[in-house]
Amino acid sequence: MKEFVCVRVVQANAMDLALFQFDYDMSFGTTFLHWDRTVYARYGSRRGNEEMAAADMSMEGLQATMQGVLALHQGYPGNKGRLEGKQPKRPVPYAVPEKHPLLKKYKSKLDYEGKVSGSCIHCHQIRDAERRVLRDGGGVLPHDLLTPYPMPSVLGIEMDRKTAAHVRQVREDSVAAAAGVQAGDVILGMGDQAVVSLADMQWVLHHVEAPDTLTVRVRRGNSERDLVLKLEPGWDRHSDISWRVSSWDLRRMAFGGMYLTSLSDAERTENGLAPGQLGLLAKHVGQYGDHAIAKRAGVKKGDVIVKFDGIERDLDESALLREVLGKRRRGEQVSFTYLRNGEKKETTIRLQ
Amino acid sequence: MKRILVSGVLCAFGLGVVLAAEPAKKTRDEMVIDDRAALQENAAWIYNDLEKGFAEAERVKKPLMVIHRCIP
Repeated sequence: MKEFVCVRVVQANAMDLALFQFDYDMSFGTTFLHWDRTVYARYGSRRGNEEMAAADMSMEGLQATMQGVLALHQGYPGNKGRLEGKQPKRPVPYAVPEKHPLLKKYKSKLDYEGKVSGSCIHCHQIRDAERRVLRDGGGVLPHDLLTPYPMPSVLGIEMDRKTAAHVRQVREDSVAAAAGVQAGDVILGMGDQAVVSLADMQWVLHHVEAPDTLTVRVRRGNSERDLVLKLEPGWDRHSDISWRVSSWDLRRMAFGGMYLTSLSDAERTENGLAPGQLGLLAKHVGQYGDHAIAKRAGVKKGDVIVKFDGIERDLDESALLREVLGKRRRGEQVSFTYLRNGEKKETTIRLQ
Repeated sequence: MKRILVSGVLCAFGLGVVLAAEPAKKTRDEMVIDDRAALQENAAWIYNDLEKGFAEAERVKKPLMVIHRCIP
């Protein structure tokens, strides 16, 4: 800590969006910079949902990333080439969040004399607003807004959260396994970028345009090697977005406020579902406003969705959100079929 | 033991406060106000003032660590 100048910011109000670009669903986002505003690294995959908050981060991991940043700082500006890809993408549509038409009610400073928490823009609201403007304007949501900042797990890589970027596990039959990535490898770089954290990897993956190849520099034992990942179209189709805070608004748009979870094998059997058939449990049904559209259409918590907008194949909630919001527009009607106590029912909702 | 040492060092500089979840009993407003009270006078942190951070980093020739942490 003594080797850094530490700045704590507790709101997204007045955040320089041309400089601070990271996964806005995280409730702890760290950016390491040179004083000339060159970004060295990002850290902080603290998820918004409390039960999974520390699933991808730790004190040890942060310290390891900080050591990596110090090495980059010592090598700067000689290493500028390895940092180029890490720099924010410009231009940005709004300089600060409160300039966005949907966030104009917020001020640039918190109201410590009044309702201070209510005066705070949360990071996830930046992405919420971006999506909402597109939907309200009659558009479908583009891929990067539906699958933001994929985790390395989508490549088949599970990282060790207590390190900067050590591979803990590689899933068989994955893109990473095919490239030769092994458990114990230390990720040193992806593409032309230096990597010192999981968030750095997310940044790289967020900006991939498939089909493409992605060279991963790893240290294995005492040697370093380059491994090449082949990313075909749809490489990130299994990216889980269900944990994201901003997915609540996607549920309003696509499902009329239903929060859907996959059934266990036992539950699938109990409901008489064939292998490969859609089966999603309505774990929560919104109760108010536009989040209660499914409720008003008759859906109750515990119902099992078996067909949605003509889709009957087995998908998880994230994939179904992408299917619906990537193709359908606000105002369109979709019908769906659900099971309640073994009885099949049908209903219709209007998409938001 | 190593973990304890690491946590101890980081907590000593206030990072434990930054990462730790607040007790659930406080209101959201209280959490925001208490956070400022806890860290605004902490010499290890610059609170909500990025430009001061950049100026200080240039003065002491150190990198910046900017943490965006949502409190409530």
